[in-house]
Amino acid sequence: MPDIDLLISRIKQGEKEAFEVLYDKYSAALFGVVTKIVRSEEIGQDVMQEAFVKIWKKIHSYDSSKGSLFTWMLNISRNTAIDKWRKIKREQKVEIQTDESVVGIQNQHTSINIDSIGLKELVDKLTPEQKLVVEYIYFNGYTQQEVSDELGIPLGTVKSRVRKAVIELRKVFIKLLLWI
Amino acid sequence: MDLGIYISSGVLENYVLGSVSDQERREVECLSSIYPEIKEELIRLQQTMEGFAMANALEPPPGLKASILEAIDGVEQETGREDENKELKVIHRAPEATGRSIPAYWRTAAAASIILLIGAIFLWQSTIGELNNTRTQLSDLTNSKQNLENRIAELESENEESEYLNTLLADNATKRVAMPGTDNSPESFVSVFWNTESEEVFLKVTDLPVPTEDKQYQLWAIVEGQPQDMGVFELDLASESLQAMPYKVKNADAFAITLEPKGGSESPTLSAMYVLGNA
Repeated sequence: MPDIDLLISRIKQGEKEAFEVLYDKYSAALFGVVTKIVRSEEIGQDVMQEAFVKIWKKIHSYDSSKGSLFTWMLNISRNTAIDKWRKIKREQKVEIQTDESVVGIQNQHTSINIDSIGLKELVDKLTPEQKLVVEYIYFNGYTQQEVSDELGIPLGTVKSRVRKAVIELRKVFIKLLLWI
Repeated sequence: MDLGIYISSGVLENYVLGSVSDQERREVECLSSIYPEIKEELIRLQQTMEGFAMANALEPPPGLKASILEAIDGVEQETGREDENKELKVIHRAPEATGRSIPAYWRTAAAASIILLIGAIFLWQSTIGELNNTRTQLSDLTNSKQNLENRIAELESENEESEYLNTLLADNATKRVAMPGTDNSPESFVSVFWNTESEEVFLKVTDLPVPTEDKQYQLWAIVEGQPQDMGVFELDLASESLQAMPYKVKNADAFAITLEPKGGSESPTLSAMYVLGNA
């Protein structure tokens, strides 16, 4: 896509207007992913700001041979969100340990919820095991080894569940590609 | 190499979801730059996840855009480092007065842009006197730039691992290919120095396990997706110098080392690959 290349080179020259175009195009998709990870729209906004500043700062390190700009932005946003979520959980743990009146603490939803993957079409297509693995990895930043340890299943099984899950995702989203 | 097996192993899907180890990640990136089939599959998987993200889109509150644009105000973009594909520059960074370390390339570029700036001012001068003044400034700055370049050149030659290595690196046509360890042997590391003009290849082993008596390491160049024998070699970890390989290569995309029976094999044993790197 030559338009994207032009946009990228304008951003590399420090052009804010070009960066705005990027925001308009991708902010909703990124906000959706980020909010799912941190389970809060408010925190999601903080993450979005952090992520977009990183994107602006590191635009020169984007390597088009490794994938599209959107994928690059997605990864930055996801990683920022996962780091934030982990920080929140750690601070929560400390709070619970040091606070005597445990009652008042809001439940920040630390359990893995397989239904939160969303989208009716997917609920049917993915098995519960596949949904779980995607939830752990994509929305919680677990590595394959961590999933294997957590669920007590072999590494090879994790690998193949991820593969099958993504194959199913592909069937659903192949149509959406025309709209990007 | 059986790409079908690699593609159906699930490692690409895990790469795309971000759940691979550093080694797997490097392996995927290296292999996808060599084999277009893997690259295509990777792109399709990335597009799948992009579609997934688009489908879960949530419109952020309108105020967010403005606060982000404000947040990037005055934030400097991090400009790229030297291109890692260019030949290795053996440079010691000159001690900095401030805390930040600036690559030599940028210092020269900064000096050059000052020259250009002065040159532009030069064009606007009308009187000979002012002209002479500017000429002197220009020549002073040219001298400073020359001094900087001389100093860089000095520092370059000061750092010598061995005279031969230095000559090789100074040759513009030499490419250094770093080959980190595969999952078989994550600690391993070997560098290939490939002179793209003379097509000669040299090895420097930093770390490889000592093989048994009946085995030998063999270097391969990957040319248009096919492995090409670059010869076997003995491990001599005590020596700091480079080893010359018996064969030449013109257009390598990557290099790899496998452990083969003594004397080498006709084609590489992929399960016994120790290091792999992109050219």
